[in-house]
Amino acid sequence: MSLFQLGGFSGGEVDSHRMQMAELEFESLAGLFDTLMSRCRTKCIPARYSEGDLNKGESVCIDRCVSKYFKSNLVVGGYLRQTGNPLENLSGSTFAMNSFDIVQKPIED
Amino acid sequence: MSVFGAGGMGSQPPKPSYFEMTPEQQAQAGAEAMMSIMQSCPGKAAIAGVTGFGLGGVFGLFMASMAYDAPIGAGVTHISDLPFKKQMKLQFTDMGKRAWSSAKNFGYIGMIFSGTECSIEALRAKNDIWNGVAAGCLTGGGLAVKSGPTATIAGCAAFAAFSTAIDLYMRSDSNPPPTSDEDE
Repeated sequence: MSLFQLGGFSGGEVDSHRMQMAELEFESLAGLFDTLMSRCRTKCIPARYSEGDLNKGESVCIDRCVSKYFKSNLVVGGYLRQTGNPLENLSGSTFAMNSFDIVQKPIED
Repeated sequence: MSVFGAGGMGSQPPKPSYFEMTPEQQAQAGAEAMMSIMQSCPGKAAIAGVTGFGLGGVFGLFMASMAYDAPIGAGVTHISDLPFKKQMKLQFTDMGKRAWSSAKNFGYIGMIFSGTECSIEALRAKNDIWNGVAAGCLTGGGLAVKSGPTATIAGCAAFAAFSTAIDLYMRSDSNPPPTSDEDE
């Protein structure tokens, strides 16, 4: 598919590897955002409201939710970096969802 | 790896200073700063305090005009025996004193109630009726704390009930809609 078919495998493999990495990163970020939005919305915004602006309580809750999510991602990412899991077994979205579930479950009311 | 390290927000570009922005951007940044101040707890407390001060002043003026039974000025002579200018002076000073004390009281009430309600709501990260109840209790109790424990409890209960009633009325917009259009 590339123009460097005559140049040997090195050029083509690096490209496809980078493409795979970029795709994985994009998937993980999109999954991160999706999960973050839906989780923080279920936790922080009640079902009945009478105006469109965020209350003080809701905005504080969303701030804390996002901060906790990212910090828990860092912690779980650190564990995974230590154990050195292979990249191909994980897709970005399931990683993001699992990390948030693992850290948030005890605090959920 | 960026996938595993996606926990941080990433480095963001530095915010431009006010001198480097166009006038429209400056106006926007100023409006955003003003909005954020008005939605913060000290800002809300200050706004409520000033509003309470103004309303209390007007209220005190009205109440001063209705308090005709308590004699003011010289105790022996009746007020209508004094010359007109002296009567006016006495009335105005009396109105001023009542208006000032009423304005101060209402200002304190508004500031303390709004400040505590905002702080409790920020602490709990929830928006429901109990923020107003707790803030009302703290305000009523706090203002009556010099009069002893019974007055503190009574003030707490009364103010909490009052603020709950007002809050329930203000929140009646978000209740479930009526089941039918007819009156039962």
